[in-house]
Amino acid sequence: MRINNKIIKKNLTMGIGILMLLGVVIVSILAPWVSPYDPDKVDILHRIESSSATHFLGTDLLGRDIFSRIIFGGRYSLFVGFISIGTSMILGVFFGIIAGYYSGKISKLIMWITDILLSFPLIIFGAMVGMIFGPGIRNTILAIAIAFLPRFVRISRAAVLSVKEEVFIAAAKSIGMSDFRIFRIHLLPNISSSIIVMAVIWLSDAITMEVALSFIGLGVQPPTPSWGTLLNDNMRFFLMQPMGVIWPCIVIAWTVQALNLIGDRFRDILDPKMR
Amino acid sequence: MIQKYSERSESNPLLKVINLKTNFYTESGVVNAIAEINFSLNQGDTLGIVGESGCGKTVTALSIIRLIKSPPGKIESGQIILEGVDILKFSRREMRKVRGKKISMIFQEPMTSLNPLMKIGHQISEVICLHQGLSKAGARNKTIEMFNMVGIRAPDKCFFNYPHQMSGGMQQRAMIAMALSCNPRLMIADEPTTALDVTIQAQILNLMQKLQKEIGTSILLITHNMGVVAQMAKNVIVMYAGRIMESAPVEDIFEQPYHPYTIGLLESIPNLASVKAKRRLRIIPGNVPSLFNLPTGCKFSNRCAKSYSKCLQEEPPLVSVSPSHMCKCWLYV
Repeated sequence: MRINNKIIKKNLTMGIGILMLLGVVIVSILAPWVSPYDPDKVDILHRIESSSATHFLGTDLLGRDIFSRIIFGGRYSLFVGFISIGTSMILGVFFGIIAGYYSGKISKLIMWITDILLSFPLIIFGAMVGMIFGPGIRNTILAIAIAFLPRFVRISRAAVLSVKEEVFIAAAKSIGMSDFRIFRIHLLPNISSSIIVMAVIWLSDAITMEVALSFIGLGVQPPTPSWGTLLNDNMRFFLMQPMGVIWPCIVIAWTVQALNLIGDRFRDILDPKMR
Repeated sequence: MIQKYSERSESNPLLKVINLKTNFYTESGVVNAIAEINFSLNQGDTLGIVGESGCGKTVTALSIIRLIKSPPGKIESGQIILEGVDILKFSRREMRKVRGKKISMIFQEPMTSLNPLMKIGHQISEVICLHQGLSKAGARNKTIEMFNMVGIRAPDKCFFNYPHQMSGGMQQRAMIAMALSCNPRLMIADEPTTALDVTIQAQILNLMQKLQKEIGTSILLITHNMGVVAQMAKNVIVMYAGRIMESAPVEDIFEQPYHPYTIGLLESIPNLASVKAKRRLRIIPGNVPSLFNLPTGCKFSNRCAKSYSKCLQEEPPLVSVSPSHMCKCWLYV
């Protein structure tokens, strides 16, 4: 009975996480209809206004509506997060399967590069890639995707190493199945659960990374309103209009927390000892 | 030696293994898992390979289907002639076409040889799609037909079952269906009934015999169970430390075994007479020697009650003791 209650409680926290995330995602998708103003519309006459009936959270240095910019910022931040983690996952799983399944020179090379990349701290690595390729949305996605690539290679290789020893892989070979087909119909479904869990957990890291990169000016560039660029823009008049910094922070924390609630529960489901 | 062997067997056997030698390159040295073995298998026959754990039975099977893990394993030399063609010379791509279509394999534990995430029916139709180029619907019909053949009840329902929804016996039937679905010339059964209980074991063996008659497949049966060999095989090979110790038709092995090892194996089968007489079960003293550290002479000499000085110094050749019976022991040279 007690165990059941525990599970219900855990599922409840995941449910809350999903609802929180859905809220952010839906508002971001519906941004053009939800936001009261055009996020890029400059209104010099009403600059640095505090909260009022017309401007929910006030306006920034150029008189742009902060509330609208946060809503549109979600679009860019979530987009960058999802796409970069997705790209990283697809490439990482591909290399991970090759490195795990074969044991020749190519897999040694993959693991060698992976180990080198893993020795850099995430944010420094992202900043480095950002500096090499220059700022902008596409390059931010690239930077984050490359930063997470070695992590995905690692976990998918580890998963493949255990699955490839299963007898059904030998059985698949004994009926003449090609390696690629074994990857697709035997390896991929068997490793996907652990990879999806890690992707959800790392998605929150990717979103914070986008914020960090944009904040230091190596990520998404103004006037594009991502959450990181909003923080960067509004820091300069923080004392006059604190809402422009506080609210993006709250929204970022909200999103990250939502993803962590989901990710924690996922991790529990995967870990049999926690059950 | 080899000459004699080939003279004995029919002019054109289905499978002929000549001087097959497989080594494993481990960190602590090279291990010779199979040392130049020769045998042949005729169309529609069953050849049993028996021996203790670690004597090279499974390595022989995996060498024939060329699924030895490499590294560390490597087929050093020899020929494996299937229907007149040496398959050791085949490329990986050519070998893939042989596997499943001409040679197929059944593994020891049916529970682990099926992908737990894939519906049984899809796993079996996979082979049919691969080798027979049927459409999805055609493969599905063929799969259900195979399910019927191997005696799976409600085959069209079972098609959509996951492996965990079936019992071990049913899973093994599904594996047999998978192995036989493309009418292979040779089926390698690596201890197909070891993981099953005795009644299911009998059912599976009967099924294999019945299907063998229908399809005309030859079976290479690997087991350590003498009872299974007695029921299934036509010829028997007794292996020890990667060598063939004795090979003979199944009746000869049971009625007149020559090699001390074979005699020991047969004596260590529990039977009712000895139970009634309250005799202890006879055993072969000692253990299989480590492959790193084999005796110099006959590999069985350190456990053999009849060994004498020559056994310790020189390895005996495999010689004919009767037209169809061969034995590797100094007592009969």
